[in-house]
Amino acid sequence: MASTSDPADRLPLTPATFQILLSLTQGPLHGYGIKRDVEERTGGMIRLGAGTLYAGLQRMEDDGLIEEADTPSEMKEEASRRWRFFRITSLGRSVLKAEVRRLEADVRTARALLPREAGS
Amino acid sequence: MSVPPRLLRVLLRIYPRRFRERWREEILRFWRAQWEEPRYAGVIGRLRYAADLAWDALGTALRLRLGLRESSPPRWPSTPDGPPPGELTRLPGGRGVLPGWRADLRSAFATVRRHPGFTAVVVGTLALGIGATTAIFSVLQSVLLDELPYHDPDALRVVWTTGFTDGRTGLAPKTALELRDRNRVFEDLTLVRPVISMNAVASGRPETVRAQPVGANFFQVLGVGALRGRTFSDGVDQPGAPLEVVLSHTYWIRRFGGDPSVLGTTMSLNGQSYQVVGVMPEGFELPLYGEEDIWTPRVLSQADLDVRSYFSDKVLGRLSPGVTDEQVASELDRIADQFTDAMPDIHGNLGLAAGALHQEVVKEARTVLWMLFAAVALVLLVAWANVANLLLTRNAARASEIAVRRSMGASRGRLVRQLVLEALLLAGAGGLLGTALAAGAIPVLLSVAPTDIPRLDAVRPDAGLLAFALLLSLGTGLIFGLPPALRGSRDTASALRSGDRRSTLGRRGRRLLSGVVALEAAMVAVLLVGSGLTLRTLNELTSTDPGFEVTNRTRMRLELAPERYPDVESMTRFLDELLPAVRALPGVRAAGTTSTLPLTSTGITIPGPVPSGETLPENRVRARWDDVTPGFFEAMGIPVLAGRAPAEHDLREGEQVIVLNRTLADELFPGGDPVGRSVGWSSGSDSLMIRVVGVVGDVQHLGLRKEPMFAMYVPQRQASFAWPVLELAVWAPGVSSATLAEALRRLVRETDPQQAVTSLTPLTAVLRESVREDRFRMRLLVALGLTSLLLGAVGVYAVVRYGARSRLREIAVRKAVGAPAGRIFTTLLVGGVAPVTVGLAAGLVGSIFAARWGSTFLYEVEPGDPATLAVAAGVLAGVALVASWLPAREAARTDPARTLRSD
Repeated sequence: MASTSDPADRLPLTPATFQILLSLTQGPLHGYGIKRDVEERTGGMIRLGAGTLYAGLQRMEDDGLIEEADTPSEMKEEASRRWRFFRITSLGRSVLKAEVRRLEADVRTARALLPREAGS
Repeated sequence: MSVPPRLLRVLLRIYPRRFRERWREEILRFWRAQWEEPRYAGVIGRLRYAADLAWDALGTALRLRLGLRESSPPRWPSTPDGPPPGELTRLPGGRGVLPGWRADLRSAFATVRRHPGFTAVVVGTLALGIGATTAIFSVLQSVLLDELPYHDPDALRVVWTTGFTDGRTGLAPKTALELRDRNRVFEDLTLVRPVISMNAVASGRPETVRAQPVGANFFQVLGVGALRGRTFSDGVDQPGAPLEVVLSHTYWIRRFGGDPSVLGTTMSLNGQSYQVVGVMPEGFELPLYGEEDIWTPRVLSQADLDVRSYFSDKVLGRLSPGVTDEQVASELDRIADQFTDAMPDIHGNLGLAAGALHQEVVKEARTVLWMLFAAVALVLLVAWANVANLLLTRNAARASEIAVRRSMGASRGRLVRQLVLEALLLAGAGGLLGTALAAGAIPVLLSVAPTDIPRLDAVRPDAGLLAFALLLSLGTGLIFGLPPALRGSRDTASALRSGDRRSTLGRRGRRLLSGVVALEAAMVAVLLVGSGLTLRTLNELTSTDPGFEVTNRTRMRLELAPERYPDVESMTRFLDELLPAVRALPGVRAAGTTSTLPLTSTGITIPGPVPSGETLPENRVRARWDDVTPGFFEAMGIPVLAGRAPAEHDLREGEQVIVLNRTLADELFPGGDPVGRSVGWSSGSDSLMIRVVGVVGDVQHLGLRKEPMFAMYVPQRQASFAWPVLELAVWAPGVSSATLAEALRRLVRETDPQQAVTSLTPLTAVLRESVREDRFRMRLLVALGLTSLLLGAVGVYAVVRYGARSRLREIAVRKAVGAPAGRIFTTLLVGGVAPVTVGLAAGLVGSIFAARWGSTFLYEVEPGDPATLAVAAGVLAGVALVASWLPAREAARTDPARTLRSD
């Protein structure tokens, strides 16, 4: 667990963490909502189970990447179900951006080493 | 329809407490929401749901509880723009970054397929161990553990007479009926007679059936009703009542194809008409006398009601509720005294006793079966030890592969999950294969098993057995898969860093392996010694002289129905017609009958005679009693040592004569010649004087192991009571047994068309049959011993090979600096043989104790027999040597330069 707030120390992110943070950039979500969002975004390739998700959320909260949020006003009807909502922190945003930059570097490296395929 | 909430709450418990407390509600809501997704609709969907949930929960829980981070990839030095180009970074996974259990399953399958040799060995090893255990367990279950197929079987008792023979003697019907009337402890009692063969004619087709005569209330006492039709009517066992017959389920299917219209039709049995009134449910049988096809009424003849001289019937009773066994015992004593007072001559020293029906049925089988189970358990332990070692070594050898996967981001939890899944796959395959093996082995087992193991036909592989095998294999997978998986996925980062491609278990790990090998060797040693002892026992038994000849001798057993042969005279008339005809057959040199053939049953034992004029001694000897016809001794090849055998002129009214065997003659007339002397059964002037006319050689009556007993033979004509069994022995050299058998059957038919022949076999078969149990034990132990030896060899081979591989670098370096190949070879060899030697020594000692426990099965060989121990040790050591030599030689031959270079 990183004790500094240098985002780069938390890289690379696990796939679960990456996807969860990505979902939360669009606004606060509850756990199940995050799962649906990730599923839709990846076309069903990544299916987060309850354990994986909440263990991940727990760890990200401990690391300061996310925090619990109040139920957004526009979702008040669902509030009767009393889901817990989460939102990304500024540290979380920084880490996410750092990760994206790292992945871009990976892709650049890979493209440099592999022959360019037609149309790719 | 929504998810059962109880199940979800149970699943929740898999998580650690703190995690659970924090996220409980969320997870439950999550799961409920997940349930509504379209992909979980339908039956398949529901299964998918369960699998997805379980798999995710298992993985996460494992990770959380073991304190594992989801991934702890090495930290790469980074620049503000990310890691410098060219550095190896983690690649996101392919299809499905977080694959669920299905991908893990596929991966496990792929791994297993990649190592076909290893897979085959593990699966085969487990299949042998689990298969053997399942097979024996199924026999145990049906024979010993399952309840008898009656209503409240624990309340059923068998009543017998004590004091007449060494075994269990039955009761005379008159006695049984009086017992039934006078007793205060039994709800009801019924009579049962031994199973006899009858000639049955139904729908025109004749065949031989096995019929059990039983009392009219037999089915009521057992508390089982008919499946079709009804059971006997009251009074069907009275003389003159219309005869009925009840069919067993097996016979009904086999003979009538399960046709219900057979009810109400008539069957002819031994020439008499019986009406078929009912069919019993499947599985109903009385396993006291062997298999029965039908039940007939045990018709009570006038002789049965008047006279007490036959101890012909077994008595079954159902206890009244609340009656204890002490009450039964004292009640039986009380009634037995009444009989004794009333009829001192006949019932002098006799008593009555009762035992639980289940005990009577299984008593002989119990020891044998548990012993076999112990032997099989040893084989299973050896198999497990092998698998444990194999998995340990294999995971260690895969350390590099595991390290790479870790560095690519696979979490330790997932890795453990995958390794366990691989182990479960192997174990599951082994279990399935083992069950198939067991299913195939059970019929073979039954066909060679001694027939006096009861209820064998109830043994069949069933669902419970499959569950047992599956549990065994899954348990195996978990127990032997988890520790190696945990161990193997541990600190692998250091393995990568040090560049040692072949990570090892370390010294402690290797010692663990050796320890397991030693344990295996000990168990194999016990089994080998057991095999050797039973082999020697069988050898000794078959070389024992039984006291009679078996070449060219045939035996025919006739069971006479007391209704038609109620006394000695009627039997004499039968024999007077049959025997001359038999002797007149071409090729027959001698023929004669006895009441009990040696080596077939306990026979009749009564208090022995004393020389006339002597007082009765305190402890009178008990002697085997047989009534014989002239020609018997010659037919059996029993030598007449003095005087003569019973002859034709020994008529009933004539002088009473007797023939003694040598042991009895020496006992009664030590040093003197018994021929011409008189013996009697009571002292005093009114004692019956019987003249001894001959002495014959001793014969093994009870079994090849036993000492010859005291035996006396009286002429059949002069027998004081009639025993309703005739054993005919025929000596016919040069006649084929088939011809003789056919001729004998024909003669019996001509003498009495209603008389069935119970059995007709060469005397060699009788001899073989008498050691059938020993042969069975021997074969099983040898099979198990060889199996465990094979498994042990595989285990030693694998361990030595692993030892060689894991020290490849060390070996290469040694060779490079000039160490002779021989030294290396020896080191490796010793590494395999040393633990085996230790285990062997322990096993030999253990085998002595084991053999002592089973010493009743041995004959003429001691538990600590040095020759057997030496041979077993030699075999085991030899096999271990070969199993170690092969991989050691291969390792010693490897080119050191190549090994060092490839690093």
